[in-house]
Amino acid sequence: MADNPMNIFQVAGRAMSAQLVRMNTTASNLANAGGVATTPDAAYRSIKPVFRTQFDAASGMATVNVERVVTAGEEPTKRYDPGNPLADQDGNVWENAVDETRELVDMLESARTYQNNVEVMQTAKSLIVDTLKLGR
Amino acid sequence: MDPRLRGDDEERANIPFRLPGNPQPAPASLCRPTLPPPAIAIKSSTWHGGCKDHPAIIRDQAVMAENDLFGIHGAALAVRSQRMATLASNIANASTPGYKAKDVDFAAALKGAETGRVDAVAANTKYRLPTQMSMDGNTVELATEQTAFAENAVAYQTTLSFLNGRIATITRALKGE
Repeated sequence: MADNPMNIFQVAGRAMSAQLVRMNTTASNLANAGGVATTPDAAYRSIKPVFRTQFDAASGMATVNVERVVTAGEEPTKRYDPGNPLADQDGNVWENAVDETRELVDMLESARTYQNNVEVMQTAKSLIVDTLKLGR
Repeated sequence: MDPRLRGDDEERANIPFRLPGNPQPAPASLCRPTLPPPAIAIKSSTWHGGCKDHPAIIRDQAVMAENDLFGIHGAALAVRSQRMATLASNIANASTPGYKAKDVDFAAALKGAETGRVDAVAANTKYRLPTQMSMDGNTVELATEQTAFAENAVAYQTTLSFLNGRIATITRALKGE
């Protein structure tokens, strides 16, 4: 990728894949909301992607990369539930700390940003097609 | 409506671009080497031998031929296209913490491109002044970027239709219809 100068489709396309990674982490977090575990270490922690700008010196453009995916958010909460088959000898379970509201807001924002990039791509495509038809 | 988005290109050029509170400096890799502006007044009688093949002279001839046919519109199309890339970069980085949005000062860049400067757009790319800073240091405001992108796309198409008009005129003259 670094060999060729970047074009507008790569900029928008890679931003779309970054948003897709974000959407996937949101889906994982929501899927694990409300789950419990026997120990705090075994409990699920929400995961988040870390975005990083990537500059292209040749074209002066900047796109976005997912640098890594990290665990973030609150610690799992202890709840007394002796009837639960996952409870430890004291009768406690550890509940996954997933902030569902935050995840849903994140999902909406990432969907909007994805749509914006699709729109950028469509506009660029139609302008390039128009330029190719120049003089006809 | 945002007063900054009204008016023609000339008015827009007068809007001062200012660095936001805590700007992130552009990477040194973004800066391009500045080439000297091409020499203009070279009379054909002063040429000798291999001078005609000098790249600077060939480039001058190309620039002049292009200007005769398309006027300002060729340079305008190139600047519009590069501005579209800058705005697309902003939209792509809408959710990257710490990213500072940039925009091309179109009138200044076009003026530079007309005089043959190869770094006209890079030299006139400034950081956008956000109406409100966000907590993560990102200065991309989607409404602003989308409006600028749409406006730029329409202007690109306008330039294309100007070019099409020129080409149609020349074609008609050549055919003698």
